[in-house]
Amino acid sequence: MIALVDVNNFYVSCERLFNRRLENIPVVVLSNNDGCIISRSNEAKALGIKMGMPFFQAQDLIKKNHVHVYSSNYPLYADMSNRVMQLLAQLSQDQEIYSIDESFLKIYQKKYLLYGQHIRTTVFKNIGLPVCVGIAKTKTLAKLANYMAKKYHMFNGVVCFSETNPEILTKLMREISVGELWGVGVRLKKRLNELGILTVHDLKTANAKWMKQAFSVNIERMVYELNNIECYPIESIKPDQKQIVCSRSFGQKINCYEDMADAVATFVQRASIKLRRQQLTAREMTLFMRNNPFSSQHRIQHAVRLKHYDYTDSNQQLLRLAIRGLEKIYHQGIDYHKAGIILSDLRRSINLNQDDLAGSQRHHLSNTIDAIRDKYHANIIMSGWQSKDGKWRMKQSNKSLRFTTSWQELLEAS
Amino acid sequence: MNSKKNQRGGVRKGAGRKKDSGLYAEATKVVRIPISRISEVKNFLLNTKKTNFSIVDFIQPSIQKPIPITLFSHKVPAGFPSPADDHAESRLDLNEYLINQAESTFFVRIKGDSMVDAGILDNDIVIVDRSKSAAINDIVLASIDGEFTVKVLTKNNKGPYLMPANKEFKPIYIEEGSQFEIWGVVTGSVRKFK
Repeated sequence: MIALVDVNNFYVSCERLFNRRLENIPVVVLSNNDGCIISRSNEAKALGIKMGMPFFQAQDLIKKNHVHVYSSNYPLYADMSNRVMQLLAQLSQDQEIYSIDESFLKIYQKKYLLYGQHIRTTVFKNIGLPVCVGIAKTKTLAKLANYMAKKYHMFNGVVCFSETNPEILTKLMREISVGELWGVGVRLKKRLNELGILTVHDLKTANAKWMKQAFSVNIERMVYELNNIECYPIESIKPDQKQIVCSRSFGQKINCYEDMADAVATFVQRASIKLRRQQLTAREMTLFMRNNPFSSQHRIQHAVRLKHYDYTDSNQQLLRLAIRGLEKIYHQGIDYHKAGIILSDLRRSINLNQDDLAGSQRHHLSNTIDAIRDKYHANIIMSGWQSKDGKWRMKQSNKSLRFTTSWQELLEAS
Repeated sequence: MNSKKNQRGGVRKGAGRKKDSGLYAEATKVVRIPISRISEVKNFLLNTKKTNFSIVDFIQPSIQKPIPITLFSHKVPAGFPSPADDHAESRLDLNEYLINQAESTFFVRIKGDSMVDAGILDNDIVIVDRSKSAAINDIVLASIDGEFTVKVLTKNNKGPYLMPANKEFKPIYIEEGSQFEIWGVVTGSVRKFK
């Protein structure tokens, strides 16, 4: 059986663990740059605050109801995520970490519901974060079971399909919208609805072969998975990433070339670190920048795809490529709001050493710079395009402390 | 006649052992050796033959690129190998001493003197393990109405309360309706002098 363990309102729950006053009151966490609402406590959800809502749109609701607002504290969330994943790894040998707050586990214990509760209480006791557990034969069903465990309080946080009354399950599947399924986005939901497939039950009872013809093999598999036929096994070893993205909304609008180059150089640096950590090389880069669609009349977006002559993981080579792209697409007189780069055409790095001396020297240089930055701090070595306090950097007006990753910011007790 | 004779007898084409097919896979020659040393020579031939055989047939040319070895990353002194090599152990690590369950361990900075008699001073860092269950007389990190405090968990006939380790401070009783929880158990403390 497959279990999906998912931390409830992950970012808010992390904030609450270190600030006990936030318990039982509405709390939200904002995205980078305090742009959108990306995590809500149940109390905030009840007020009608929606996921992904721009902060300024929710401001009235927030003020009127004294909602506590936090900027995102990714160092804290990342550390708490690692703790949860480490603990879950002790509870099952087969683990697939699916996202920052979700993990698939293979369960061999026969009393599934009981073991699900064991997982839930252990994570809450040892780490302090509330989780829900969905258990079923396939990943798609485990995801659905997890959704039910979160949504319906009668289940007490754990749903196991093989140990739940089938009539209740069918009743719930007739209620739950097909859009809640794993892999069904807004557009697909709309197309399914047009065919009269509105609920999970509708899709479960659809003809798989026919769905394959009308949509794709993925929908066919979804129908199979809903009927207990496993199509997506647990992947304990992560496949190599297909692309690496690094992008940000800016703290304030950027309308000067030097500021934009500073931001782009920093994106290149972050993306190339990710590249080297995974021992990958890239040959293609997409650079994009756009204005703020909320505050301007016209949506302006520029993008360019750049090809490097060979696979590389060198910060300098990628930076040179990015600056060349920037010269092409940067326009004077536009208030840019967001920019980013995407590295693609990735492949495993092979040893460049023997025939490519320059390549191996670049590789060593990048690694050495990474090591120095790790040892001291991130800004100790920068490219000439970067500045320490560029005005594009994150606007984070209400960030909590890095309780678990900085000696200066430890939790205090009297 | 000749052709008939060829059909009848003599060496037929392709008969006999194939060339280079014998024990040694090449032509052989009769030689004189002392009887007492026959086995020695046989053994020698057998052993060397084995090596030849495997070299020819089993070693594939390497298709992998050579693995680069970073030079000078370790200093290897010429001469005798260290007599301690076989007895090397990993150096002591304070994390290992102080931390039992890494993922459920948190560090907390102490502010104030309420625990000095337990050896916990202002500015010390205490190690808090959430996976442990608190017992009476344990030092715990508790939260009362949202305030974090480190005290000794104590109990009287009315129930649990928090006892400071300093006569100047009063015990903290848990009033009804107040939010109280034990966040974790304090398992150690660290202090730096310099």
